[in-house]
Amino acid sequence: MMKIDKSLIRVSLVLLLAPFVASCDDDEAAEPHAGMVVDKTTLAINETMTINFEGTADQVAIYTGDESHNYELRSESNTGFVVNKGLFTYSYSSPGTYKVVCIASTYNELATDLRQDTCSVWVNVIDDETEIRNISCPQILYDEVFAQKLGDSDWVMKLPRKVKYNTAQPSISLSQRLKFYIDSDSTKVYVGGEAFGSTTKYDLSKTQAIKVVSDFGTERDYTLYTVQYPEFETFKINGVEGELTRDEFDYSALSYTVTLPAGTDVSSAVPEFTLTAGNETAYIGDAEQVSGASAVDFTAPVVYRLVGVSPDNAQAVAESTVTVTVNFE
Amino acid sequence: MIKKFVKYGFACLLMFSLSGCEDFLDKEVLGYSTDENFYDTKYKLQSALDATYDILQSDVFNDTEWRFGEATADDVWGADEGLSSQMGQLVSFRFNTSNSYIRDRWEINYKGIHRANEVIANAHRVQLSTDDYLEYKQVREILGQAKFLRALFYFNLVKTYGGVPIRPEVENVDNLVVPRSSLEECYAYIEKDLREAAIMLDTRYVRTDAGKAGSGAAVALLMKALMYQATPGIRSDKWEEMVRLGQYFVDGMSMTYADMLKWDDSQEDWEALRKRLWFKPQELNSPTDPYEAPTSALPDLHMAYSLSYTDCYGASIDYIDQFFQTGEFCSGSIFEVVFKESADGTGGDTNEGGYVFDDMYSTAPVVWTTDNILTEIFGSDPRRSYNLGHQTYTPDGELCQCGPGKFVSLKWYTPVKERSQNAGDNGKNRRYLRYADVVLMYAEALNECGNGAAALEQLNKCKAQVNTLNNSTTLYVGGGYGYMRDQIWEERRKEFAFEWDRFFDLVRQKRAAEVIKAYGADRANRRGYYFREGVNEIFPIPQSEVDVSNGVVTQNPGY
Amino acid sequence: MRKYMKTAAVVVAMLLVAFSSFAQKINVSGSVNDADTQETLIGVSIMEKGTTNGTMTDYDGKFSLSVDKDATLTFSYVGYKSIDVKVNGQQNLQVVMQSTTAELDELVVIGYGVQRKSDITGSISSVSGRDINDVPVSSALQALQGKAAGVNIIQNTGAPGSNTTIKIRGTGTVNDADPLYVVDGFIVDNIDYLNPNDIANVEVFKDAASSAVYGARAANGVVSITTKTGQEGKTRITFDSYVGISNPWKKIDVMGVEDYALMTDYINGLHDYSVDGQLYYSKDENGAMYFDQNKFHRVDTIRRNTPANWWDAITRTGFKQNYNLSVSGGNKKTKFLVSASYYKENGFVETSSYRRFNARANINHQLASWLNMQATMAYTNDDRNAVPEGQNSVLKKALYQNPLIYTYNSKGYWSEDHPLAMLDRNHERIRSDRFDVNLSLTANILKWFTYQFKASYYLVPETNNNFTEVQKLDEDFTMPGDLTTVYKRQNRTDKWEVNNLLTFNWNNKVHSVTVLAGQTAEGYKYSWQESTKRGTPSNNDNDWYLSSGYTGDKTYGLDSHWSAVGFIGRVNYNILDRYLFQANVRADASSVFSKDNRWGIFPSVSAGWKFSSEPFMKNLDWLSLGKLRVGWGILGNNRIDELSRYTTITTQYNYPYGIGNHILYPGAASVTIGNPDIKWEKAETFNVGLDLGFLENSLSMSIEYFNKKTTDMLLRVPTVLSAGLDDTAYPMTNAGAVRNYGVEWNVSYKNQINKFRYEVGFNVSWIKNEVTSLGTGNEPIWGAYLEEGSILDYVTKTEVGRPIGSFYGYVTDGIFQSYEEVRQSAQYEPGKNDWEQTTRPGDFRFKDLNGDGKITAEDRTYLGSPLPDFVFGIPIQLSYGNFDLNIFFQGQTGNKIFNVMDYYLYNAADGNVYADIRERHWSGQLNSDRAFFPLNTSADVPDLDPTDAARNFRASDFLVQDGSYIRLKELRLTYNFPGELVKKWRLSNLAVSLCAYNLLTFTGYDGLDPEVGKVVGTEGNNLSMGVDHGNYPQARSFTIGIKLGL
Repeated sequence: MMKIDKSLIRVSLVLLLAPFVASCDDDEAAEPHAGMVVDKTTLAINETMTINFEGTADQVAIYTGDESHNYELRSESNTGFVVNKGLFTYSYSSPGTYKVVCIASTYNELATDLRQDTCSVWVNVIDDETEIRNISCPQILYDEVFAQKLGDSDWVMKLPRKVKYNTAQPSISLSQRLKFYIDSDSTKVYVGGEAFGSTTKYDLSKTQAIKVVSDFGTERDYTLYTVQYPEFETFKINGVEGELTRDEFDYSALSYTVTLPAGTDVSSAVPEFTLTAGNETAYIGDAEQVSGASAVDFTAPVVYRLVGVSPDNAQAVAESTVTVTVNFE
Repeated sequence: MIKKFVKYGFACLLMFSLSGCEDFLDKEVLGYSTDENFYDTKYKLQSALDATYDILQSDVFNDTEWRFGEATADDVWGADEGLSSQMGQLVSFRFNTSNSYIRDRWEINYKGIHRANEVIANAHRVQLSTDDYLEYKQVREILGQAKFLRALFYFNLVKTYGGVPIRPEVENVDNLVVPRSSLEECYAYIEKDLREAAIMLDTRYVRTDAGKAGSGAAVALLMKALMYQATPGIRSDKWEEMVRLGQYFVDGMSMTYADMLKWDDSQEDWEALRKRLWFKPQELNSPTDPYEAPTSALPDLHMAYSLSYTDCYGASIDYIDQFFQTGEFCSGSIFEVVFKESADGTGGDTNEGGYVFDDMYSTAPVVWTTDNILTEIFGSDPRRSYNLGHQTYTPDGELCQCGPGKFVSLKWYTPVKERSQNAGDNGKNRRYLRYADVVLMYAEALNECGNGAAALEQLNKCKAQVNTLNNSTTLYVGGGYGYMRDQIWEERRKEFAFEWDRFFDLVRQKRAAEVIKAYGADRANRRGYYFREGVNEIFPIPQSEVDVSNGVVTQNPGY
Repeated sequence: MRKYMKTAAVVVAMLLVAFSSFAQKINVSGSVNDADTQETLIGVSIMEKGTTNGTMTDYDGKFSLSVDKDATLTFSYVGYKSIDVKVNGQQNLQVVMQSTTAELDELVVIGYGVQRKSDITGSISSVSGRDINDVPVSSALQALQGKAAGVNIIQNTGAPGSNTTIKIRGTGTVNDADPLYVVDGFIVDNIDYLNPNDIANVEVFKDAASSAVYGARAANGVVSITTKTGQEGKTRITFDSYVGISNPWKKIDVMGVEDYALMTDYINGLHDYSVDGQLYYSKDENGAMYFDQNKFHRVDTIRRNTPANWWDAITRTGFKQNYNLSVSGGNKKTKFLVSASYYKENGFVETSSYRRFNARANINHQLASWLNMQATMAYTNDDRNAVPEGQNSVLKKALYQNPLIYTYNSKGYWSEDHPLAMLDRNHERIRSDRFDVNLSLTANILKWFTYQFKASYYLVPETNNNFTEVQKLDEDFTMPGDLTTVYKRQNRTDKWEVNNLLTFNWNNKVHSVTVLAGQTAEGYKYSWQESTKRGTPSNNDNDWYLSSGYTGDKTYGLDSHWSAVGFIGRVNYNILDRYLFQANVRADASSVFSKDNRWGIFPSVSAGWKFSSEPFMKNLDWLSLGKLRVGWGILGNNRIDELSRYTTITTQYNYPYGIGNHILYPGAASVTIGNPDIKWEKAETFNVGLDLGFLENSLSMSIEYFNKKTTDMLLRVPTVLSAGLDDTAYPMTNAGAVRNYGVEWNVSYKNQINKFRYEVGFNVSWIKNEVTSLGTGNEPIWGAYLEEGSILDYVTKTEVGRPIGSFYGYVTDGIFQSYEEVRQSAQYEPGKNDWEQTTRPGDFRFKDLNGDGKITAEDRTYLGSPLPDFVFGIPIQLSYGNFDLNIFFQGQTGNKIFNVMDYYLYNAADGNVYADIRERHWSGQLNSDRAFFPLNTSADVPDLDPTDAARNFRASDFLVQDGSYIRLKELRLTYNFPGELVKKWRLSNLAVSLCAYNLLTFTGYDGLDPEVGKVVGTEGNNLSMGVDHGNYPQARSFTIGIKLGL
């Protein structure tokens, strides 16, 4: 009787303790697997690249391969980015080929077992910016004058011959600096076949061929036409020279005041004028005016429309308005 | 007998306890109001509005204002600019999307929107005590201010993050994740609030109501919102409308309700609109009550504000005084964030401007400027003198000990006599919108619309006021479009220096990259040099927002 | 739901009518007592011989039965010899029964009733009052520690009168996971007010089958307490008392003045007290050492004016005393028990004390042959003087207090906020009263029906007074920039409860059916108001009143209330005493939830098979009991803020307007969104158990497996920031899920060899806790924020797949030996020279877990759980003749403790350090100032740095330690005076005992005590378990006691 009892107790004790022993945790890290899907491997500058982590890991780090995030240089303090929730977005600021490395890490409690797996993808970042956003002459006296865009590749720069600044009327040279607004710093510009210099003065009296070469190598040609605002070189009614006034805000707005003796009939006067350049034409309304031929009624102020056209491109036009007022002595 | 009694007695007891248990279980909430019963009087609606204003004086709000509007740009540098700090990463444009300031700014402005929405969504639950015109007007003004504030918070978000989620006015636990709206939708939303606020409010609030946003604030902010949508050098209806608003606000040209609202009767019936905005319904109007028709002229705004500074009692004050207590609510000030010294300086009191102010002008300022930067900004402009440096005495004779080579701005200086008894508090108001801003915005719009002459006139109005500092006669002179634009921008930089708006001004002028990179190239720590054109003009959506929304809220390009 | 309830009520009413006719016989009532102890016997089965008519005694040991006049009644009770008693027309019978050695079949209290232990199909641990009464501790829960498998009880701290964390079968929720407390059938919010001596029995309901009658609040188990009642017979007066002393069982060795003086010179590279490690020495211009009187004098003056040891300065020998007097007795109709007790404990930390006075009267009166009334009235008065604990623990401060200070400054004030000053300036006093009234009417209305009406009410007014002194540092009291604060908080709890219970009991030889139908209603109200005022003229105690202050008036106050109703149904059905079934259902409604979610139904079923009663097993005479139990059920937890379903408006968002003096106007806004859809947390439990008794139950054991899944856990789940809500006020949602599963095992053996009787037991439970969901996005929950300079972070994280409140931090990977090693590590800062590096040789290397090349917050991981794997208790009772010896071991394994003390005592940045740190820290002789110090590059403690620039002491595995321990909790020797002697002295009994409590503790843990519960101040959640801020350790006490009966 007692014998049975003892063995029974022993057996049952072992049986009952079994679940406790079996329940001890198996303390190993899971096997990591690095895997990522990059939405595109050819990117433009600042274009967002999306990386989705598709592996198994407790944590994921991405080395993007650019400056200070180069996986190969991690022992030299290059660092990676931590990826939350499997989604990482990034963009590159300079062109190049970058090795994107993904590190999947797993570890157990207290990280006594720390495992890592890596995978990588090469991405090409190209800077293919050839678009000119704007061209200006930055130093027309104190002003920055912007060119206008004509179609896809033609720009026209309209410059005044003289400007009014305070009481002076300095002349504006056609030898000017240029400024190009292009979204990428890596893009190179050639003006007339020479590399663009920001302090170089360019002769704008002739049409300039401009070549834009992106970092990636794409070339694009532009043409910059320059047209000066047309002006009357002289303007006379009945032989009396008009007095020119310039608008300090608007280079295309000019006005002449002609002072005639009192009682002069100006209802059908024939003014004599000369234009500053051969490619310029004067109109009133749409009617072309010929010096010494066209009769005009000056009893009220008359607005001449002067049109200058680039010799190289009929589309590149600069237009001035000249308001002629007759005063009587 | 007893048995029967017992029997029925217990049966009754059971029945008794069953019946009416639903009532027994309805317990009212003690000590708290809930949204179900709160907004029934205009007093309560007003307190909801007060809580919306309260965001403006919170430390986090102002903290993110100077960090983003000022520290990131080219006028200052600061103490905490190592690349290992969140601030250093921010000003160097080498932050990541988890940056805590980027998160703070997002969060605090949305808190403001949440509170403004509570006012707006519940405004129609107010029960009026009488049917007086004045009662309607009072509720309308509360609603109008809430709209102004909501627009202000959205504008802050839009200029920082681009298009953002537009929250429903009534939040629901099940639909808390809202996707982003486009930039255009956001601006349309902001404009609508501001246009409506502009017709709902008095031109400005005075005496005990000073500090409340008037229609001047709404129009000024509307002009700014339009300006941020416009591109310099490209003529657009935004510039043109700014001119129109400038004519109303600055030149005193009249403007109708319909003009301000851009009202379109095919979209909303006038009476419906009036009811929505708490104008007294036409059918209830008594003959003596005014009636606002689409064609009615708006109240004259330009008389309420001026560039010649007079304090709130009408007495003339010096240019510099507009930033001190005497100049609070002066004629040149359109909207101010009002601070109050708290009762006892305890931490629980939220009405303390101390934190930010003490950091701006202190012995250890968080940002400061330097002599060469000041020379670059001001040249010989008299305004330079209200940026003090080491060992310089303030107007009231206090010595500024902010450290060698550091210059801090008197705009954030609290004169000794205006200080609170308790350290850590500050009662100095923050000038949020100034009339000079309106004038310069008008000038810029005029120039963009080809009216350089008028632009020069406005620009010189502003400069003439500055000249009172030292009786200078130097004014701006006319020039071509580009010259005028540069002069206006230069004047903006001088006039609003250290008012926490520089960065956003540069971005909307489309030259942030150029200016900030150039600035960074000169600094030892190259802060700003890493500014990425086309990316850093807006900041990333906080990573937690993207994460928690499971990607419904999308990230900005380039991040 | 409501309709359904009404229908049920109608059915019940109809049943009442249907059973209303029966034949009149005579009514016999009486009580059954143990022949030796005179204690009442509960659950004695009484059968009218030759019939199926019978009943059993209730938990007062009473019975009542209508029988024929000449009937013979058979009294049987497991563990006792059955006896037959002839009625002979007597209406009142007093029966005494002789016990046999086996006593398995006691009666156990179950919710709203009692049941024979052998019939129980649920999972209930029952602890007799005898095991609790004699333990020299202040609270019943403390006395319960280790006594029941599956129940983990941890004293949060050892401070007198401090509270306790109790977990029944694991931590079911991140919210309040305390069990439901039931005293004499009524739900109460805690049981700290009870005098352990008043307790007759404690039952712990661990599974759904036994808890389901408490439905909506029983998800975390139920602790049911039955208090003592009077017995019929001669009036008995008992008196017992113990007095004793206590002291800490362990002391931590920190540096004294001289050691520290030497150390501080070494750390800071100074020569204030020493040179080259030679205390009191200086070097002359030739580099020769000489004894420097100045240095000696400097240290000596400090030594004379400061305690030699700060720990000793604030500790003392504790003293506890306890007196109990009870008078009980009664006659056939009326029984009573009146008791009074006084407990006073002065803790071993200066000023800590706890005092409690209890008075209790329990009256039982037979109003009519069919109607019994029981009334209880109790009064408790509590007074507690606490010392600063938690983050600002005074004990922690006493250990790391820089010893090189003067106690007083030159003006005679405390020189700084050192431990003595902290205690002197601590004026918090909490005093509460409690009045309890319970009434219960029991009517045997019909043959098989018993109706009970029970009502209770209690009221607890509590006052908390606090006074904050001005720091006397500002010696001349010039400017009142630093004002005193007077604080007074008064609160009052009111709670009532009414139960209507109807029991139907029917049995024959084969079937036995018990049906319970009941209804309960409860109301609760809590009111508080608190006021503060600042700026009293002095620190004197006559200024500790609100009227003494002149400014800063602040007053707050609020009432909160809730009500609940419930319907209870239970069926017990036994066939042949072998096949046992039980089904429970409770429908509960609480005002906390909105109308649509108000009702919850909580069902449970369980079954048992007593296979030992099967005919084929009957002849196995070594097997006295074999029972297999299985149960399933769903329970609720409704302990949430009553306001979470409302969008509440918060005031205080004020804003000023107006010119000149800006006037503040009130502002109000909601910072959260109410969730009207919230409902109960639900716990679904399954368990299977096996009970075995051998050799007439001298060896008994039970093993049980359980699996408890809590779902719909109430959480504030983080939502998008653009919702504009406060991040502390995200809407409450039913989002999380937690699973607890484990095994419990219980064995006990008792035997008698002549005069030597012994009983040995062992109970152990293994519990695994795992969070399975945390709502949308499964955002982790952080807890236990530590304000220590190098940590400044949360140190627990609750995440899916892990136990609740697991420790979280960095992992150390040895100590850097050279700059070369630093350079190649993730801690290197590029672009800086070696000497500019934050991390240098002698600092910890931390593991870069994610491989991103830098050590950031992302490189933290789980460092272990504060929840133990195994919790066990080993009770041993030996008796020889008149001597009894009780030995009780208790312990746990596998839990981790975050040792904040190590942070201070290894870290030279904050005051004092371990006395042996000199030998233990890394020393590389890199600095010429430190060249004299012995080289030690194999150390495991980093180099000493007065600034901890490298944050070596951030939250890491270095600060997390194993908290396993086994403790000789109780060792008690009792001498019972022989009967003849006692009789001669006209006593009924007399015993004296000597008790050593917490005599021995075996643990590898460094801190003061491995028993670490929740941090004081954060008891409300389970996210700060196991953080040791230098908790008030459990005292080791020695008491001498006497027990005498008249």
